[in-house]
Amino acid sequence: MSREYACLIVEDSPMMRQLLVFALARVKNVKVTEADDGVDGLRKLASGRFDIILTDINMPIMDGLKLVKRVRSDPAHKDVPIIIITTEGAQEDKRRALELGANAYITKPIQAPQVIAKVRELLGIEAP
Amino acid sequence: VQDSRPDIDEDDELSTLASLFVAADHLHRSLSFAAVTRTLRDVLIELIGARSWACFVADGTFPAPPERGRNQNEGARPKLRVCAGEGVALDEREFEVGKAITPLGHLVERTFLTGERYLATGDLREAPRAALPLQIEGRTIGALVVVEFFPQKDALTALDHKLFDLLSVHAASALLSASLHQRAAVRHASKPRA
Repeated sequence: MSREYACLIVEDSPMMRQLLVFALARVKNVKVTEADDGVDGLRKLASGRFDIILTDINMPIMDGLKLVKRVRSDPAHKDVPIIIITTEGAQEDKRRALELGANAYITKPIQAPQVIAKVRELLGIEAP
Repeated sequence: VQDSRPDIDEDDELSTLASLFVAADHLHRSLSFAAVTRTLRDVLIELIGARSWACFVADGTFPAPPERGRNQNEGARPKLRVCAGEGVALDEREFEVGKAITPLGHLVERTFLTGERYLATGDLREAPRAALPLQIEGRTIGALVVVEFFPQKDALTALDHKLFDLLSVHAASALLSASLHQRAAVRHASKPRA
């Protein structure tokens, strides 16, 4: 039986979340959980096991940079791969997120093939 | 069965369709004006890569649409006002049709009066970059303008053009529905209770 992977999407825009969910629906055996912001993301992380996190940077309440920092300082999730999603031009955010321990970044506008490839790469799933 | 369109990349096509579906779905998902303008913002910033933008609507459109042909009536000179946007100067947010004084104002005015789309050619860093007529059943009620794109965006993609098509016809009706609903809710709330 093939393994199931749990993915946490942290994004405040419902539209962008849906687009990410659509993209990841094309990766076999990936189950997606959605969170509205960093605080919601931490709450959902605390209630389950996740294999990968995709997070936006600019969000209300707790932004993606703070989320990356909190995840990396939590022994239970410090090794979970994190992909940050940034707006074009946000070079400083990208640099800071990678410094804090994010594994990769995707630049908006989101291209589904790019998201799929990055998730497969970090989860070690071979393309069909 | 042979693929009759061998040049079309299936992944790209699915990605494009998903973006178009999600944009239209979210524009019409809510009757809250704030939610509709939030989706408009997300489409422009997150999917197209606009850094500053504005949605101008003619006087009288909200809450009730003007009568057909009023836009072209010389006697009535409606004002064009920003109902949503980011990064547009305060003094460019409202003007009377025929009295625009800035390049942005002239472009909005022209788009409103002609119903024609404008896409700047050449350097994407020159502003304003694009203007789309906002239309309901072929009648132009305003204009959506992309003043600036993010500096890294050097060209418009096929998806950008399709999203412009979608916004031109879906944004106006979504905004109008939300506005009418908001107005009805206020009226209902202010009615004296028996």
